[in-house]
Parts: sequence; C-alpha cells; structure tokens
Amino acid sequence: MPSKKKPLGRRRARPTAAPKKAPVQKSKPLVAIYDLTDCEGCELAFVPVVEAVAKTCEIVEWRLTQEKRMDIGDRKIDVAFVEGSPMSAEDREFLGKLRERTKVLVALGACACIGGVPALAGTAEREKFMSLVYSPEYKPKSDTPALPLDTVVKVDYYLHGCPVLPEMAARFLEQVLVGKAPDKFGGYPVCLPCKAAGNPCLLIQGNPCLGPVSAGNCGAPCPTFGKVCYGCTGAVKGGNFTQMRHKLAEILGEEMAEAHLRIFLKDEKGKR
Amino acid sequence: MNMAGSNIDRFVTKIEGHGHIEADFSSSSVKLSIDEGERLFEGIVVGKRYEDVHFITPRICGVCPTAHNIASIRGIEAAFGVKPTETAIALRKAMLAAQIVQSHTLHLFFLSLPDYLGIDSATGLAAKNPKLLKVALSLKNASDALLKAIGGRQVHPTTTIVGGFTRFPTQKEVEASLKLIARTMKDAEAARDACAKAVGDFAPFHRETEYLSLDDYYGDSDVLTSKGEEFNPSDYDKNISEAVKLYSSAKYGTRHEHGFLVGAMARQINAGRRKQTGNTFENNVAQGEEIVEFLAEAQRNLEKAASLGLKRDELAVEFEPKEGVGVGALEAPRGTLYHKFWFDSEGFCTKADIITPTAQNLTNIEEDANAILAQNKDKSQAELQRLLEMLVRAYDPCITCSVH
Repeated sequence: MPSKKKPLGRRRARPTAAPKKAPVQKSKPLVAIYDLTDCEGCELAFVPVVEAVAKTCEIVEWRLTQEKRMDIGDRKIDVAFVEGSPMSAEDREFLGKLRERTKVLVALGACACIGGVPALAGTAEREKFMSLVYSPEYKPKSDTPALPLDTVVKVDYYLHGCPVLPEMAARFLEQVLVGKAPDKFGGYPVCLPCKAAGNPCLLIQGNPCLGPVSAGNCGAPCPTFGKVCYGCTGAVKGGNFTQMRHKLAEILGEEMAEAHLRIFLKDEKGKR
Repeated sequence: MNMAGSNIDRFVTKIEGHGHIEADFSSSSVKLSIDEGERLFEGIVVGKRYEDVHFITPRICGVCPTAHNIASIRGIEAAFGVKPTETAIALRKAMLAAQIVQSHTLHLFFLSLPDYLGIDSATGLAAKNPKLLKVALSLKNASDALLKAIGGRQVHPTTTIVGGFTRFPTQKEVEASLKLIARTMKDAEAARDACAKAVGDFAPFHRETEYLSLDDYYGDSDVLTSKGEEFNPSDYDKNISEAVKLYSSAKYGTRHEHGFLVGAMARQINAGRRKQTGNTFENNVAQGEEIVEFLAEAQRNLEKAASLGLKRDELAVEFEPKEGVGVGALEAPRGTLYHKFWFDSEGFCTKADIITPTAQNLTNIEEDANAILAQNKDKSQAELQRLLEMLVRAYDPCITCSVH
C-alpha cells in the first residue's frame, strides 16, 4: 500500500499534497511488460489491445515503448509479462528482483517458456558458432545458452507461442485481471482446431507436421494456411512422442527427425 | 549513470532491443554499445533443411519478420534457381510493403515521435493526443490485417515457401484488404503530416555521408549509392564490410572505412525524392512519407494479384534442391537486408551470412553522434544526452536484428 506521505493517484489525489508525477490510479491493477534476449514479436501482441488494456489496467513499465518507469511506491506489480530468455548475470539479477516485486509473473512466448529458437544453440554449439560469427578476441555478453525463465525464477503462468497471438494475449490478460484461472496450455492437440477448420492432414500427406504432439491453443493457424506445425505452443499433455518420432523418422530420417522435433519441443514436458 | 572514476556517461535508450550510449563529453566521442545476448542465427541454420531456414530466420526480429522470411526465401531461390509465379511475387511485394507500413508505424508513434512531441510513450500518447494514437492503431491494425490475410499471421508468416505460397488469399479476402487500404489511406496521410510537423525544421547538426539502397525494394535491381556508384546485391561482401567491436554484440557496417546510411531516407535520396541535407532526423519525415507510399504499393500489388486470378495452379513452382550459393536482398523497413546461404546437393544449409540494416547503420550512428557533440558545444550535458538519444531513435535501430 502507498504511504500517506506520497499519494499515488493524480485524478483522485487528496487535495493536500498532489504530486506532479506518478499518475497511477489506485484502483487499477498494475501491469508491466519486459523483454530479455528475444525478437520482440510476442510483446507486439499487446499493441493491438493497448487501448483496451489502458481501460482496465495501468501499464507501469514497458521497456520497449517508454523511457521512464512509473513511480508505484511500495505497491507490487500485479502482472508482469517477461518475453525472451535470460542469458547473462544481469538478466538473472533483474528476474530475481522482478520476482520480489511482482504478484503474478508470466512467461510470454516460446523463448520465455521453453527457450525458443535461440535455444537451438546449446553450450557446445555456442562456442563453435561464436567463433564463426565473431572474432577470436570477442568476449560474449551472454554466459549461458537461451534458457527458459523458470530455470531462474518461479513462473506463475506460461503464455506459449512463437509468436503469442494478440487474441491469446488479450484473453489471458482479461482472465488473470478478473481473478479467473487462465486457459491451460496442452489440454488438446493442434489437430483438434485443425480438423475443426476442415484442413486436409499434412502429416498423412507426408509432411513433418508436429500437430499431434503440440498444444492446440493457437487455433492451428499454420496448418490452416498450409504450413506444418512446428510445435511453438509447447507440448500437448500425453502426446505420443514415441509414435511421432517414428513417423518423423519415416519422413525425414532419424537424425533430422530429432533436429526437427527439437526446434521447439523434445518430449512431453516441452523441455529440450 | 556516471561510471566511477571517469567522465564517461552511459545511458540507455528507448529502442527495440538492449543497447546503451557511452559518451565522453570532454573529448566529444560516442560509442553505441549493443548489449543483447548473442543469438547466433547464422550458426543455428547450419545443418537445417532449406524449408526450416526460412521458418527460423524470421525469429531474428518480431518487428520485421516478413522481411527476414522473404529475404531467406529469395536467397534459397537464388541458390536453387527457382523463379516463382507473377502472382506469388506480387503478393510477396504486398507483404513487404505492409511490413514497412507496420514497422514504420510502430517506430514512429511508439518510439520516435514522442521525442519531438515531448511525451514519453504510447500510453502518454493516449493521454495527450488520442487522435494521433487512433491514427497509429488504425495503421497498425490495417497492416496486421494485410499481413494476416496474405501471410497467415501478423508476426512470423506461415504461407510463404520456396517457390511461392502454400495458400493464396481468396478474391474475397483481397477485396476486403483493398477496401481496408482505401479506408486507411487518410490515416496514412495524417501520419505523414504528423511526422513532417513534429520534426519540422529540427536540425541540430549536419554531416555528409553515403546513402545506400536497392533501386527496387523487392531486390530485383542493383544497390545504388548516393555517390553515384552501384553494385549487384550478390556482391555485397565486396562493397560493404562488417567489423567486430569488442564492446558490442552487434557488428558495425563500413564502406571505404566509413559509415553509411540505409533506410527510408536513403531510399528517398537515391530515388531523387529527397535532397541530401546531412540531417539524419529527416529520416523520420521520410518514414512518414513511406507509410503513404508503401500502403499504395501494397494496394497496387494486391490489385495485380487479383487481376492475375489468384489461381491455385500458380501457387508454387516445382524445383529440386541443388548445391549452390544464393543471396536474397531486399529493402526491409530499416534498409537493405542481405541473406546469403550455401547449400549442399540435398538442400541442407552448410553456411549462412546475414547482414541487417541496423548493423550497417551502426558506424554511421556513431559518426553522427560525434558530429552532434562537435557541433553543439554550447549545449548542456543534459541537452546533449537528450540529442544523442533522439539521434539513435531517429535511425529506428533494431537491436534484435543487429544481434542475430
């Protein structure tokens, strides 16, 4: 709660000491959006809903679009979205501090949830690629591969996708702000919305589609538009990975099958 | 913050990605240091099948994924000798044009215009100038809708493949897109005028430099330079070089050992539509004008695709992967983007080189920053710091792109 000396509201500020800065209204929940090493595609999902968001909550910090942090005094951030992967001591320290001042911490998008595409470069590969891309004298800014957020801090919710779709972001925010448990990921596979859309099965046609083992919360935009599913929304619960591997090996050969699966998934837990 | 024991100031700028300026005000020297973690995309794509390459590279940047996706596809097509149909090319051009409108809108309204208008952010814009926020959201939503109609998603397209498309939009969807463009055009013009008005005659410095851009934004042309030279984009590595700097996870583009500028302003200068004044802040005016130009370009290409019939049998041409090297170059929102790939006979990538517009601009940003300090000696340190941050934002740097 804000201290009496420094009231936070401007529009409804007490007449005694109205501060010039800090236009935080007491009643609105505080939302913050951050990014670590990433492509910023997921936080852009909030841009189309920014008007609606502004009505229901107060964006106290959005590093991409604002320079100054809003002064929130002793209040905690109600919901913090973090996109991207921690890759340095600075990132890990930031996450630790954020966790302390946040009620609900949300991993936003594939990089934050499961490491995303950059996690394809593991520790051994990073050393090799580093010398390919940079010079021998170059000292990397990162000291780990791209890791999921939950390797560093406790994550309350995962909002999967590469990218997170605006309708998913809007629905999630709505649910979490009214105190309803947000939709869980992984309850049904991509095949469900894909079949509902009347698409011919890409896997049966001999394409390496990961729909059967991937969470279908995205609504299957990729197969609907003729592209195989790469599993960016994470693994579906109880997905038959053994058969998926078998089928992929038929299409791509064993070695490529594993590499293909690994772009976003590896096993039932969605970890790689 | 002021670093202990030195007169070097480090400050962070509101940009896409993580970087900071290090300015030594006593000697008028500025370093732009890029702090993003190395993502090593050029390594990640090695060993991947060609169709995974253009799926992976858009993840370099969520602000201009379509540009990376199409640049990769064009590079692969160049390596395999694939020529897509006219309809496919028209739709790719429409996507690229919509991508430029989308990216410019985001940058101008959320990052750079607030500088000139004296507000901090998009939420500040909502409070101070709700009309302008409406214009921004209208343009953003329209370009999102166009990219979704053709590409399947507004970020990271799904319909584009080597050889063409997996799916064309229907005549109905194209008609709806054209109507949307017609409705949005007045907002594009309002955006253009707002940029011209906001920047006005703001010119805190002048410095001559070289401007580079492709004559044709889809890349079927030479790269032109404002010094009257031209080169084939597949010879980019002979004409521009990238230097590793130990303080930065992005590389710095140079040409004849100096910086050069790519992007909206360069495109307009090389097309003879803008005079060279040496004032980089005009880049934001140029971006505003491009919102109108590229919305019209999206319209022309959608009309063309519709008139060609959007035929299913013209979706994608057949081809066989083969051993080879190919360069895909195009004008991304921030300037010329090069993707170069080497493939083995089965279509597996063996090597990759990607040069992003922001990496090309970095040397020029530092040179401009030094010029600002040298030409504004009467200003206070706080004012100078402000100018430097504005300069960096005027370039619309995409740090995520620059560290790929």
